[in-house]
Amino acid sequence: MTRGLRVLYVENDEALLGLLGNSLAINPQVGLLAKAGGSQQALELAAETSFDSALIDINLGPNSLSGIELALRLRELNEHLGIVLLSQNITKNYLASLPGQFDYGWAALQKSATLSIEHIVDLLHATSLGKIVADPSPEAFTLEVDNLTAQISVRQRQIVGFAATGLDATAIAEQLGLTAVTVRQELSKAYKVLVPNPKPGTDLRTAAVLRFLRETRGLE
Amino acid sequence: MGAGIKSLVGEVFKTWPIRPWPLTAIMTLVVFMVNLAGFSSPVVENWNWVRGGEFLATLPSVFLSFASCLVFLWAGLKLSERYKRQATLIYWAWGVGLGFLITLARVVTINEKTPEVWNYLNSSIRITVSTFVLYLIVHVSLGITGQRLAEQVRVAELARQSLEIQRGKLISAQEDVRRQVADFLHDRLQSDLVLLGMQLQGFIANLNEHDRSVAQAYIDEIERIRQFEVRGVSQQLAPEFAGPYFAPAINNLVARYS
Repeated sequence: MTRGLRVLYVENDEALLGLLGNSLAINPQVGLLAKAGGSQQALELAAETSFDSALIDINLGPNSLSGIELALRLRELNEHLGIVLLSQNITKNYLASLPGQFDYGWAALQKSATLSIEHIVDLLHATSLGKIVADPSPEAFTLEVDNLTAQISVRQRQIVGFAATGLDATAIAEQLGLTAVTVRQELSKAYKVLVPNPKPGTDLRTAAVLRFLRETRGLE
Repeated sequence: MGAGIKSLVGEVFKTWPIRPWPLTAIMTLVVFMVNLAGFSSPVVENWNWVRGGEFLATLPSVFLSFASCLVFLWAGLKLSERYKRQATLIYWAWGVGLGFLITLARVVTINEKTPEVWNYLNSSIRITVSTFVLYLIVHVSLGITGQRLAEQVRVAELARQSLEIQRGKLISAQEDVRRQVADFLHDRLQSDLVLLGMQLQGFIANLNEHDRSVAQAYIDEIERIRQFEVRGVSQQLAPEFAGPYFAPAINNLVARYS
């Protein structure tokens, strides 16, 4: 039986430290999780315990080392430590811009509402083995530059507008004097336009309505 | 009323800076006019070339007055600048001295064609006293005017400085507010959205497939709002140029203005 990962999590946002820390702690692959609110506490913990990997917020506040500085100091204490940097501003070429010391066992992860614990644990594990994860952000959204609502027909806009109020196809059909089959067909066509690249597991109707509301609100 | 007179007397007897050029110009003009006045009646009523020649004979006194007045006053100015503690003494001595100097300029240019009255002692005394009084009048009037102008300039300069300070404070306050809003968006709101999304992710794990896919769409929307709207505004308000954020910040600025 292999022992679980020993992880050091450094985060100055107490709420995130608690929530993400607890979620990581109960993951079966994690054997030990230590939490630190700043660089000083993290260095003290690292002096006492040999961790496999560290999950470090880059911006640790004004009274602390930055996450990158802390990572370098932790590496001085434990050269085999895997490092996963966590930030709200991870960009595509972020990894290439880091100091040369980060040439093994590290990854950069964007703080995201769609962040999954399994993905974080996978990165922690990979970096503990000395791997570099070059593109760790699996769910980078693309900037919406087109107004897709303008590309659907007037009838489709009417139908999606009713759908946005919570009506189902039958009720919409009654409102517009159409058949339910026609409404479903029009909705289906509208979904293809409004949600051109649906993510697996995402409800098309909800995604389409959200986009419709966002864009029509912008048009007013 | 009494205070006004006292103030006026105080200003008259104040030590004003010596003004060589204005006083020389006025003094020369006065000497010329005084000489001309002595001939105006005969010239107009009984004009002849002999009387005109007599007037020309007075011109050397005008030129001599001009040159001596300018040199004398310039020397007084330099002396008072150099010996500031004796400035009052120099100011008054130069007033008296100028009276004698102008009188002397007239006396040394006396000849057979100059007016007979130039030879009289009481005429010389009148010239001396008049010159001294003119010296005081010119210096007092120029001094008071200059003083008021300087006061207005000082007030205007103070107002300008105050305006600059206020402007600086305004810009600084605007920057502080921008930074606070950006910090709030970056540190608080983005974190809250991340937390909200993560908590929802944990919650939807127990839902049926349809409800989970609906909830996932809302989580995606939360992330879209965080990633583009909140972060975009935060970066526009206070772009971060440190370290690895430099290139993205520049790209954002370029995209914003292109």
